[in-house]
Amino acid sequence: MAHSPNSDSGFREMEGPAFRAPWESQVFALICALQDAGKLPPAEWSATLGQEIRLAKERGDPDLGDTYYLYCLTALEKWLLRSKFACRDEISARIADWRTAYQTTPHGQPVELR
Amino acid sequence: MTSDHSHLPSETALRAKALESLLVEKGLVKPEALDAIVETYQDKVGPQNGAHLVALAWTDPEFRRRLLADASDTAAEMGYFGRQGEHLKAIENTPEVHNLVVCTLCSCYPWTVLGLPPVWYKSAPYRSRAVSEPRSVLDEFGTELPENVTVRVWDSTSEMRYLVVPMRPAGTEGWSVEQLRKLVTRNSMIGVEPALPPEQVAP
Repeated sequence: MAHSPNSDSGFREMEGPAFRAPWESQVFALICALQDAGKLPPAEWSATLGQEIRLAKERGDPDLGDTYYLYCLTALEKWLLRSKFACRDEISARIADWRTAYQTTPHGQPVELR
Repeated sequence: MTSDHSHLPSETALRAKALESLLVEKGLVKPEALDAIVETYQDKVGPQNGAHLVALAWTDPEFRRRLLADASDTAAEMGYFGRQGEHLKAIENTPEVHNLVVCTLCSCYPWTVLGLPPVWYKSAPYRSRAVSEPRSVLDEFGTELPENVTVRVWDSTSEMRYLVVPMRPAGTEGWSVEQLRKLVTRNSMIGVEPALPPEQVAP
């Protein structure tokens, strides 16, 4: 079996850190925690995420691994809506609340929802 | 307002933050559980776990037999516990058969023993090509197999994850488990590369 570590490879160039931004690890942790708590059955998650990845493919997304956690985030939102744990307005309002909190909190102070 | 808002996170980060606060508020997840998960996967769990199992299998025939018969239990005995409902299967490379792991649906991966998957494992090209042209994928990783070797592709699911046990490199007779585990890379346990040759690691 030959092995040449210096050969060029598209896959090898795709190497990078496990998480490229804190939100990616946040999403990952939410999925694991929901599964551990028995709220999100692994097979249901796998199907939900698989569907999201298929939709991305259909709209021509290159899907090179760097958008994976974005699919996870969208799949998680959809799962939350479908399971009736939250409604669309509630999620939108919460996003707006966080935006306001970031915009109105002076630098150097912890950002919290009011 | 245009100035002084450079610390406003991206829309995506705000969406993640919104989900997290909603899930915590509704009691679906606990904040301390979230912290523990991130800490575990950043610092404690990684391919060093799988490498330990492989090196033990290379040196202890009884351990190898147990690992191939029931990898979930054998990994758990070593302190490498899977998430609930996940089964781990160890598949061994031989001079006749080479094994390659993929998840064609999403990116199921044996987290317990390999940590988090590499970026390419989560990409569409790997998902499709690992199945349609595995030899060309291996070629991209610099792995050339003799024609007579059968390449077997294993498609992971939410219930079943795979760990490839690569072949023990020649020239490592008498090496200890501690020395051998340095030869066992993440990629060799996904099946895209062989284990490192002994000259790549100071014995």
